[in-house]
Amino acid sequence: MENAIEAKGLKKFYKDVKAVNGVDFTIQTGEIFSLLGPNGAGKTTIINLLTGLFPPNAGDAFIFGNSIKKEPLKAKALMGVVPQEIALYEDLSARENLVFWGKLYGLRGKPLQARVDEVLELIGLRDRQRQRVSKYSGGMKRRVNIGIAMLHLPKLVVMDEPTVGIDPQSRRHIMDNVLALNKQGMTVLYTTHYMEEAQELSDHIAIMDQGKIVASGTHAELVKLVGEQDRVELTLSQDGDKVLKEWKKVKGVSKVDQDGERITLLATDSNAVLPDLFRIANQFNARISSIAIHEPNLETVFLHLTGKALRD
Amino acid sequence: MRRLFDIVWKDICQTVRSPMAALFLLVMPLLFTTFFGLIFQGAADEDAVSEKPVVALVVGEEETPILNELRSLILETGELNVEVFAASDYPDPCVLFEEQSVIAVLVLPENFYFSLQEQIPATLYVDETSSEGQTALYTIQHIFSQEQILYSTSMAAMQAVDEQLPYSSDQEFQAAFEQVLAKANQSWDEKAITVSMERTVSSATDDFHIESAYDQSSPGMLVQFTISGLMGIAIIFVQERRTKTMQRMLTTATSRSTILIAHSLSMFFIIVAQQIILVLSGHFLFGVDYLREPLAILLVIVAFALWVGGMGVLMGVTAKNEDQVVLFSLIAMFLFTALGGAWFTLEGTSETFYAIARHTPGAQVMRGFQNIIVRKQGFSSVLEPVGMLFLYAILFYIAAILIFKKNKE
Repeated sequence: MENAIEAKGLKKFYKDVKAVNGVDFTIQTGEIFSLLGPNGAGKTTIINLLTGLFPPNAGDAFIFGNSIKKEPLKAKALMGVVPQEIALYEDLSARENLVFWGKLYGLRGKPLQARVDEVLELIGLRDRQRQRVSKYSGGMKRRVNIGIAMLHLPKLVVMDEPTVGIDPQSRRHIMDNVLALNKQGMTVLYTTHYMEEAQELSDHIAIMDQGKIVASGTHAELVKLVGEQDRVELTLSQDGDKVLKEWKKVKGVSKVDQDGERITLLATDSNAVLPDLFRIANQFNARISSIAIHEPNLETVFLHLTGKALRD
Repeated sequence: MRRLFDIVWKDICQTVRSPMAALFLLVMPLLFTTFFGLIFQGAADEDAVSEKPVVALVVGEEETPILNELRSLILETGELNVEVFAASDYPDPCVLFEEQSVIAVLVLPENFYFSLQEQIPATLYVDETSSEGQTALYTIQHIFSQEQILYSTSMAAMQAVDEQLPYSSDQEFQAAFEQVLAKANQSWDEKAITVSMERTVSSATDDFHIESAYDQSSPGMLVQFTISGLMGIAIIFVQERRTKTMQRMLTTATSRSTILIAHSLSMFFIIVAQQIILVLSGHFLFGVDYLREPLAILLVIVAFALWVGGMGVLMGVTAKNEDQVVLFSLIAMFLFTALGGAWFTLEGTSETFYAIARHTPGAQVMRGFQNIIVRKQGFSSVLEPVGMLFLYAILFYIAAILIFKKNKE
């Protein structure tokens, strides 16, 4: 099967900052591929490179075989891009926005009007299509923002953190849209720092940190990387340097990480290690004020690979 | 290409839809044209009253033929006005100098008509140190020598006739003499050789006389509000950068150059439309004679629109936010309208100011318009200012392109 995106050795530097530092990945046609990482990991820079906003310092990427360096217009014509910001004309209505962007995507006349009607239906704004975008809620604007990228039925939809700062209802609506687009046969490149979104939507996930992809694969493959360990989150009521030192020695605990009062441990079997953890805390007169046990997930994987929590 | 016009159309829709646009593009310029017209009109009226220095004729008797002849000859010079005072009212001619406009006092002796024969001189009081006094002196000397010749010639002719066919009375002689003198004056006016002189205008100061105050305020306010109208248009450009819609455009198969050209074109169309409306309003509402050379005016409009468009794009790519656009627009407006002579005629400013200001783009626009509406010149008179405006437009566009390309990184 033809690759939707093939990135080879992509690099982008800003003075001393290595925003993207030698990234390789491949996205198969028809899949949902997520770039997961904290803010500043380099996800948006990769999107900007792929969509031709600025050229890479090194490397190249191919969109359905078209080089972003040599054939940028051909590559762009195959993409629909949902930027992180709400990139709309607020003084135009939803319909006027869709018509304008549809024209820039090459649609004209009746097919354009018909497609605009379809998209308005899809994003649930048919009734308010004539209202200026400035009157819309944040969630409604996000939906128009996404609708624009679907107009020309692109082979590839690129979505850069489309759910940032919106209410749960709109977020659900957007995620359903992503799945619907994929069902229509569109390949989706999705960036997020929400582990749950990547977990729910993606066929493949690439985890990014500091301009590099640190791991890539299906959800199951990534979880295997941490040896299917449980993640235990505890809160200690006092400074627990000595406690942490002892906990690291407990059999079955592979990693202990502290972030303020919150302590995260990786353990092969949380039930087996918990008694020892309480016993040690008692020894040092430390009180465990809260405890939560998580089965292996992407957060665990990220912690394992980078030594820090994803939300950091 | 179609994408380019899609962007142009979108820009125009956005601009027209903005309530501020109508205010700044049309309402304000028309209001200010009226205001400034009324202000300039007052000043122009004052100037008209006091524009020519006055020669006071102090006479013992009024309405004699010789007095009327003198008065009309002085007025015909085009340099001086005449006011006649009875000698009984102004015993001391020097009192008249206290009136600021009086630069010469000519006291004619009683029965001046006959005193010419007896060679009793008229007395001229004048300040020879002033240029206006000099003008008055030379003008009156010239007139007197002309009158003297006419008088002497007419008198000689009359005496020759009187010797052959003596007149029955002095009254008869006097009546015949006046007829001869009138004929002699008429012959003087009908010169055998006439020289016609046509002025060519090599500098902006030549032949510059504003007949209506709107000849100044209409093009002036047009220049001012076309430049300030940039605000609304350049803001669209900056908003596109701020809201990332420009970045989004770049993710479609639309190139940077297409976006830049489209925004320039939309600015150009809006500015041309604005100017055409203001020119037509100026012509039909304020009586400014723009349409005596419509092609020349259109050429100035196009050149002006290109320059302002270039400046708008430069602002659009340079300003970081809407506040900066407002600031830059205001600076541009005040700078180019003040230096361009939009508020006052540059011809009335100091030499240094004039030397600097006359080369600015605003001054080129004003010169282009006023060569037609004030100096009443032809199509060719706008070519030089239009050429200068094209040059300025190119400079501004080059700067905008360089900055836009630099922003790519």
